Amino acid sequence: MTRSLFRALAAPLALLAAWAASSAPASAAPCASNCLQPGDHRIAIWSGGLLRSFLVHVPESYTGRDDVPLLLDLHGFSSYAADERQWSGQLRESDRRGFIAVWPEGMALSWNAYGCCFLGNALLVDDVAFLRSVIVEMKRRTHIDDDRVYVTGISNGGGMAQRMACEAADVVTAVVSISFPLNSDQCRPARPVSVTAIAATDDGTINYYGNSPVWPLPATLLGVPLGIQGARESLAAWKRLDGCSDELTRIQLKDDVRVEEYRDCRGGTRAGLVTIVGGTHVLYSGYVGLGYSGDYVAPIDVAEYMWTTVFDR
Amino acid sequence: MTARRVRQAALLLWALLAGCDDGPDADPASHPAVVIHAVSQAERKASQPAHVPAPPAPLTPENRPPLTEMAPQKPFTDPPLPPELLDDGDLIPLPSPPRRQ
Repeated sequence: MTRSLFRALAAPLALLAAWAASSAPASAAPCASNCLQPGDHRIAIWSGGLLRSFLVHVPESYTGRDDVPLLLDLHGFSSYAADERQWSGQLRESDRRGFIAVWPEGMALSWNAYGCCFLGNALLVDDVAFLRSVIVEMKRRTHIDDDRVYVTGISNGGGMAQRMACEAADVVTAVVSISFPLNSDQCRPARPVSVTAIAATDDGTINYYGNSPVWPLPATLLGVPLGIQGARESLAAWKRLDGCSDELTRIQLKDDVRVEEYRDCRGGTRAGLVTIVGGTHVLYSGYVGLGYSGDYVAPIDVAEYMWTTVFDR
Repeated sequence: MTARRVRQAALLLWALLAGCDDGPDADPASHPAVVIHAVSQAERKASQPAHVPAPPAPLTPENRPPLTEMAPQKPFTDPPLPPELLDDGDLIPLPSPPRRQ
């Protein structure tokens, strides 16, 4: 049934993919080498035969002389780069802390990230290659500290951030995933990489305790698992992958925010889980979007948190 | 402008999917997958020459298993959680996982 469904959808989906690709701005690169100026930019590149693009914010403090950190901030499913830029808080943190922020555009509002999401996973879009290219392009255009390349994202973007930890650890230093676990048993990072997940117990989209594929979807679709790993199992997986000791640091940050972190891991890395008791799927305060009216206030500012406790520690 | 077009594309995509399958019906008597699963099992077992167990009783709204048990599971199994992750320590305990209906 699944196969016939995809046959029926193949033509319109291909058209949709082509349209989405063609709708990306085809602006010329703003500069060729070490010349990106403070301000906001959109850069388009070819990756895997597709025209892809990403937004860039270079803070005013950037001089072009010193290496600065680079952050890739990945939007969720049905969202897009400008939406993530508006709500994630990383634009503000970029100006405050002096790192260069990048918001890549997923293919047809999705990323191909360990079980999620359509259309990216169905078309087997090579988003790892795309994001690797983004890092290369940014290193070419700006002075980036090789040891401070970070990836974060929410929901499907969080899953893609986890995938980058698995498949691009050679160029990524640390990852913070919001509302998406590892969700794979095939993760083989090239070197230990710090991974922190932020998850809410009342997340009705990606269940904190894990869940099965939405009925009647199969367990795998085109080789991609559709079930979701629990947040605690995901932390346990990163403990194993990073070779952490059994020593677990526990912090009750607020009544409804608890932190569990392995700090004794190979290569000085850490594996952590920030649990927000209650909460919701999109943990950006005031977020307005599909199913969100803007009245949710998160107990922590996730952008500020990840910089103070993970990236800038 | 691009964002609006992309959003419209997403809505179109959902509309396409919804047209093919709009998910499980709230009425328990109208779950076709229950029937499909049962027929598939019965046909496979009927082709075996011996030791054919009795076919399962027809599924009704009263005796069908919960949907969550019929749904396919994540295709890999996590090892048991390490002891320290089963212990709240000094932390305020987590709420219980939602009960499988």
